[in-house]
Amino acid sequence: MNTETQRKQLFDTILAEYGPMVDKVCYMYGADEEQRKDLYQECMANVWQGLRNFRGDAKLSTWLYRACINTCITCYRRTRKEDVVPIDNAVQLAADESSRPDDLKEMYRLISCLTPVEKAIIMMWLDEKSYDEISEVTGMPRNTVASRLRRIKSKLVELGNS
Amino acid sequence: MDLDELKRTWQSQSTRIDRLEAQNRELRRCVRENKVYTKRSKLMRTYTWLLITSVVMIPFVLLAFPTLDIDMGVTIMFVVTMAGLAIANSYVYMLIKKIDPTEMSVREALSRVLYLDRTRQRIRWVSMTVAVVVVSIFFYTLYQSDGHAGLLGGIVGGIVGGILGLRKEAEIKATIRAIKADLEDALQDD
Repeated sequence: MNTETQRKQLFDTILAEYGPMVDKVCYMYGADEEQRKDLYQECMANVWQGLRNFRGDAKLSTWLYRACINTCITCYRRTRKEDVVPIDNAVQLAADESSRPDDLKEMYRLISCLTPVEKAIIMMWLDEKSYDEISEVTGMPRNTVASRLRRIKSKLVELGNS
Repeated sequence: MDLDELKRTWQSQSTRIDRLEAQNRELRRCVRENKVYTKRSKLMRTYTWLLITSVVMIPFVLLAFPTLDIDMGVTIMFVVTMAGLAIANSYVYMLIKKIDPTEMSVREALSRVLYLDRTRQRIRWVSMTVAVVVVSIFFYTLYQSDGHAGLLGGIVGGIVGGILGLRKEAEIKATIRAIKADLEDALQDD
């Protein structure tokens, strides 16, 4: 990042355009609304500090995913026992006309059964990130990402049928 | 719900912007006032203060102990302990500084956080053991000069400190277990 003004401009853009994406990720890791807010704050604070070294080598959305997932996974482990998405609060997230609120609740129920690392992989897959991007964020080799994704998908299908 | 439906639902959901507005406003204000702090920067600040305290204690001990008629051996022991703490605190500070969630992969972040927590746990154990020895010797010298009052103060302080230390230890152990589990999960299939 060249100047402080450019950094502030990019941060503004991130808040406006990528805020909802960061919020979706925080929602999957926070145990309640309070934690979700804290996580969002912490992710964005890390993003602001990290922007100083951002050179644009990676896509902005991939770089943000890395910052947010790392923050979420390393931040709130003390409440691991309660590490469940508050499904009843899922109505706070709005779906467009093509999805029903029940679908949203079901989606959160399924994803909340996964481990933190599995959540990270599936969220990026759901957001159409390539295997290379998932591999870059997680640090797993591409083949490992592919096999993990296969397993996570079958786990989700099984959970969906149960 | 099949996987296509899941993908469609994920992509169709959107956060209500009004929910984030207040938080974004607050973040913009913090940026304007140059007051953006992360948990990592706060922890780094804590360790900076610990480092300063342990360094400042060295001249304090060297100046104050002889006036209190405290044995030279005890004084040297205190100075060495403070110097050791200063080194340990600066090492932990460097470890925290190296963790950058925007630059490293999930695997790397997890392994560094695990290493950091384990190091902090080891340092805490070593410093607690050293503190018990140093403080016992210190209170023994007080007991020799002041009688029972100094000894009683030492015992009460030791019990309170011990309980607080053990509670913290249980918390840290749980944290380390959770990080280890995540790291093992991230390393699966290699």
